Amino acid sequence: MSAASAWVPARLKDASGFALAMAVFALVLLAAIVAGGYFSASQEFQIGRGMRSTTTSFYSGEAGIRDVLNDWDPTVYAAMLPGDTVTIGPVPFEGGGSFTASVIRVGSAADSAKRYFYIEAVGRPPSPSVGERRQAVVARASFPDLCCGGAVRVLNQVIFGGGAQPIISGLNNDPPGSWPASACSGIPGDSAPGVIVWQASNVTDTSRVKGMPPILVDPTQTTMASLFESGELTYDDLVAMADHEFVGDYTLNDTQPTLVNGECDRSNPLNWGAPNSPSHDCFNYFPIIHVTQDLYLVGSGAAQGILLVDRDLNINGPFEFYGIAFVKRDLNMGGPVDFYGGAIVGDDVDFNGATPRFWLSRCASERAERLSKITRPRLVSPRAWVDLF
Amino acid sequence: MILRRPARSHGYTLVEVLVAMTLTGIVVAGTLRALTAQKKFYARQARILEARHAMRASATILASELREVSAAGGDLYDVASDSVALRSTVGFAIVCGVNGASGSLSLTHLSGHFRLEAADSALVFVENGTGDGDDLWRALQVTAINASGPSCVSGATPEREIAVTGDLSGIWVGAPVRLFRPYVFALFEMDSRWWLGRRNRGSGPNYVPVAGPLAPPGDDGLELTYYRADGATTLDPSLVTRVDIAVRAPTFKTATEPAYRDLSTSTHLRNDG
Repeated sequence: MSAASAWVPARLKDASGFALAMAVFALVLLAAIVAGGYFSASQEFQIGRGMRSTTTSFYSGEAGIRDVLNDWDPTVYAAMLPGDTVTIGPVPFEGGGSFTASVIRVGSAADSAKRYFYIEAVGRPPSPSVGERRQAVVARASFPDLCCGGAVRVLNQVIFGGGAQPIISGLNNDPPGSWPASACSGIPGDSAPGVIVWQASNVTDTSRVKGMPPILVDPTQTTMASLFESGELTYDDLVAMADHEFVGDYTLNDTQPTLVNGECDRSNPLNWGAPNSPSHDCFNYFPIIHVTQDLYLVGSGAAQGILLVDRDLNINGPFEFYGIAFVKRDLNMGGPVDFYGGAIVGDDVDFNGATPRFWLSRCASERAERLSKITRPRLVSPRAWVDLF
Repeated sequence: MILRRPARSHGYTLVEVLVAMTLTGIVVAGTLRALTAQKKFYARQARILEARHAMRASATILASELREVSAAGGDLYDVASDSVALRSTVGFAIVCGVNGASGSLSLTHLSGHFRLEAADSALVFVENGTGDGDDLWRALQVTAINASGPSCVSGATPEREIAVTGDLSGIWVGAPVRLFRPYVFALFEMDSRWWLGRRNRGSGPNYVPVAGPLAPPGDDGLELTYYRADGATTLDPSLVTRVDIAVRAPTFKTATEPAYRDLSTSTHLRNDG
């Protein structure tokens, strides 16, 4: 022991101070403060994350409903029976979120012309977040009544040439043969005028026209505009909806309903439906076809849809057509031709050859309207939208 | 010379004791101060969280109610800067059967509260003709809500049957049904604090608190601004397309000196399209 250390009091040599205790206490205090801050921050974070999730879910569901409405496929939804459900998704969105939608036909067979659809969408946030939101709308699939007030509405003359048994009939005819009765069920079958013209003398042989009445005189029908721009959709509106467009003259001499992966191939411009094959997937396909000049339907075939012809429509059979034709100039039919539906003609109707026949068919024209792109879902107004619990 | 060792020391000097006491006092005072500050911090954070929660709840409830109304359809009865009276949808369903003889509707695809104490009226879509021009929503008095009833037209079992007083003509299978009650939302005072309250418009002035507490009306606890489609403000209930909701909640810096937090949101009415 040195002399100096001998002078240090014993208590000062005691190394067991309370610095450690103080440090621990300070640490505990600091931890409490940090924990308090963390608690507050985490509360806000959790709330913020929850709100973000529910907001994402809400808008995903809403976008899902818009997607269903925008991508409305008349062929799919028109074929639904009351009670049927089509499920879509889950469909992911870029950047997160997804939706699953159900389209349920909620009307009844008795009111098939007023088809209601209940569209419910469940939106979900990106994984791993949770919290989904449900919302729904009620829509009706509706289509404008395009055609035609009678079998043929024509601006100028109806000329019956030397052919045998030409007929224009406004007496309603469901297409014969292979069409099943179910294809026309629920569609009104009332008859109409055979020809609508602005003066009766424009029809060269009134004995060839049937209807109720055979000929209806409409003195206001004197301009192209009165024929093509008076409805809910104008000719140009329809052109904008066309599935396929042929620039210049076009001749269709063979119909080609084709399938891809077992489903009707709508991308094929030569596929104009399969009207004579109810079991074919293209039986319910009614394309809108636009031809910028003359259209020739020749050979032995059958087609269906809505035709928009900027100049003449020439049909030389044997040929069958089911649907609606809008012809800016002449409708010429020669040979054995059966046209079921209705037509609006901007110049003359000229029948030649053997048995060119034009039959008013409510079923054919309404199927063309209902199953083509002109059918769109329309929200009931107002109060179509509901935020579900 | 004899060197004597000093006597062995067994006690503390006065200076040592004073120093120790001073140091201990400083430490204790600091600790108490830290604890008090921490307690205040906790309390303040809790009040802020509570205020934010009250504001979020108020804004969410009002936005949810307003989002579903159709101003053009008459769902806004009365609008003011601090209150709104509206048709509140409490249930939604689809008609699956119209039972004219019994004056009832069979329903499916239910959502919400299908109890008489929740709703006493129904809006039912009436299509009439195929066009849109004659479409309307018909208000019917609901007299009973039954868990079972006549089958749907499809043969399925309905989820509910509602007996109604009124004309059922023109109601088609597939028509949407909204059960509703007319409610007023406004600030009201309870236990010396102000709350967002709701009352049935037709049955007295008593409010039920739905969220809060909020700042009193004099301090802009609830501020509603209504806009037309052209962006101009309006107090005409039939012209409203958007509502800005601003809420303010107290955090109470001291008991007598409230501090406030604010939250605002904007809601577009979705059922006029």
